[in-house]
Amino acid sequence: MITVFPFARVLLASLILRASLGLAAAQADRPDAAVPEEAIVKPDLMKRRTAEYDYDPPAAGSYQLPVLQPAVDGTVLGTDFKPVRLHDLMRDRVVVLSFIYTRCTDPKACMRATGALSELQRMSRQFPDVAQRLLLVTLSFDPAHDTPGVMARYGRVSLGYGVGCEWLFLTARTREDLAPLLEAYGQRVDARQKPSAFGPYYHPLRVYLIDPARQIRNIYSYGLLDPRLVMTDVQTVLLETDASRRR
Amino acid sequence: MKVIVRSRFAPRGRGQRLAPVRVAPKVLAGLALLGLGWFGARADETCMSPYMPKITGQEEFVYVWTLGVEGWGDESDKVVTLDVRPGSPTYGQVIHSASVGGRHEAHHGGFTDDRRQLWVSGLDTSHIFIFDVATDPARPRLVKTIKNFAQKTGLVGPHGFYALPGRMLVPCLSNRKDRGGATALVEYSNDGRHLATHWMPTDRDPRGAEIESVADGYGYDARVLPRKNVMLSSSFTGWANYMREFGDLVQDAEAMKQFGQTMVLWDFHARQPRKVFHVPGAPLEVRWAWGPRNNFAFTATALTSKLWLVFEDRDGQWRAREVGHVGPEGQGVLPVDISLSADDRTLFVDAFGDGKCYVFDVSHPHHPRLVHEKVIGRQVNMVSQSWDGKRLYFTSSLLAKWDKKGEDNEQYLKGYSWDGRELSPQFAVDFAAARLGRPHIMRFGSASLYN
Repeated sequence: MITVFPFARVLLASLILRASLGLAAAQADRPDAAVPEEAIVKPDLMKRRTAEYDYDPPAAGSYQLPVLQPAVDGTVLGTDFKPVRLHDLMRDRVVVLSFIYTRCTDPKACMRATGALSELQRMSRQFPDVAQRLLLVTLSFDPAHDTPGVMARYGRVSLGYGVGCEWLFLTARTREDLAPLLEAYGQRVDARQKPSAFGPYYHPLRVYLIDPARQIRNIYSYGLLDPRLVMTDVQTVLLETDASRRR
Repeated sequence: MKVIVRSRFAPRGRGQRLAPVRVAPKVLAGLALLGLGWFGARADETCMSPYMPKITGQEEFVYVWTLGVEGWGDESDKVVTLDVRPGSPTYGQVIHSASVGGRHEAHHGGFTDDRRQLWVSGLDTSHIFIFDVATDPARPRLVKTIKNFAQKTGLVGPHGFYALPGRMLVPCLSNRKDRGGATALVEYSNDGRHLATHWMPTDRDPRGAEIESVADGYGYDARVLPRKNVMLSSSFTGWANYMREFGDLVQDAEAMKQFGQTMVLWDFHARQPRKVFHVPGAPLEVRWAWGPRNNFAFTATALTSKLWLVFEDRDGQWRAREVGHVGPEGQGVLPVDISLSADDRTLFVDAFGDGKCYVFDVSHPHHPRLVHEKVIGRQVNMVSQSWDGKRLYFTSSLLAKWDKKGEDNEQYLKGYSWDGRELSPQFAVDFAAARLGRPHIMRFGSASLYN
């Protein structure tokens, strides 16, 4: 039971997640399957409006993103169970970092964040230069449940066809190991005092944009997590980085 | 009999004739002789930032940012906490008070996006006080004071606190250089660091915005409609006016021209102004509708007593249009604060001049219909509405030097119920009798937010 239950939960979350990502479960479990035409991003994806995001994003580089705070380093676990420093994974890339836990069933929280990262990954196919310089990170704040194995399964579901930029699924050895990281990023996580259908933790949705100098440049929550805006911000940071290196 | 107040009440315009504002004699007497004020503040659950959790059930506490009064208690500005839990033995009573020391012209405040901190400010000193409201929601605790806001930003009068993810948007009223109305929007991180300053567009520096008539560069409120990536700001007046004794101010025709007459539509994500609407008469509070297809916002103009609608038309163009009058036709009652219900159907409008709350059916936003009016007190300023629209709270004070004088200087917080037809009183707290001060902005608290 101990091993079945976590897996069952991940499976349930996976099914919901797949529905939110618009992916067929059977296809997603076959990474070696041929990529169908509909999975390939169309050139107009950045201009596709939705009822929730009913506008055209501003042009990349046409605005400023102030430095909010340093993106601090910490030790995390990859799906290979090996400890690694977060900054070592980032290398010289722009990073979109999302804190989640896989037991979350709130459609406006963790699943929304993972769905947005999935969309970003698809979008990155449209911009090969960006894809090489963009890293997506999904980091669990529930290491007692979200073991590297659980994160690997969560990742397999989320990755879909796995095309586009790199996307890592991480966790930590213990919650104590993670605490300094959560504190530094301002990601609040509280155990619910009353049972909830949305899962055992109360937390604001937070996704972070980190530049190659390891500084946080934007924070997204529900209502702001338009993948087109995030991609525009990524491009803005890259344009700024390139310009500063030319100087 | 009606009295016509001419251009000294009317704002500046670019080559255009200013419409006179007609004000009832009783109101005029209050303005000229008693030193009234009318510019209200925002405060209610239905106007909170969309980026923070809302209290959709019963609020438990009302936090009241209160101006200190010389000779009353400790004479200092303070956050006063009222218990509004039905059935509580202290229902409708003050249960806590946290003084910040000194008088700073307490005015507005707002929560951070995680709703764990309440930021409040002084319009005079430009100090910002940060309270922890999560550890013990019944007893807010001052944890940090930002004293270098003016030096850091070049601005004075930090007016509002609008939660964005990880940061606060702070629309200001004035600037450090001349203390006039030219001002900016400022961003601070949740831990109190200055991040960015976005100056309002002016005729001289439109910053790429299309100007309908004039760009005065003034500020007051700023609110976001995320679904359309737009932000709307409004305009009031500078430190030189709002810190002046009102009786003197109204005698100064030049000073009375220094009031805002614009609203600015921004590209929110880029923080770039797109269009400057001409909305004469000091448009104050901005209230975006909540409905998923309701692309509009209301405001009320204090000097001209009008309701305005800013909306996106069928061609995707944003426009501003006058849609109604507040108070008896032809009279100015000085509307200050407004509150739009969560279903976008009911608009509550507080009028400082006659102390009334006017209730409009705005189911057809282009055609508001008055359905109820109620005298709340001799002066009423702010209104806060619960998310379910059943409870409303009113406070009395505006600014230390603009509040009414003598017997009209009532200072209170009153709780009312709303049954869809009528406002009915539930409780009242006399802030003067309790020697607490002049109650201003209200924010709701609940322990349920944190568990």
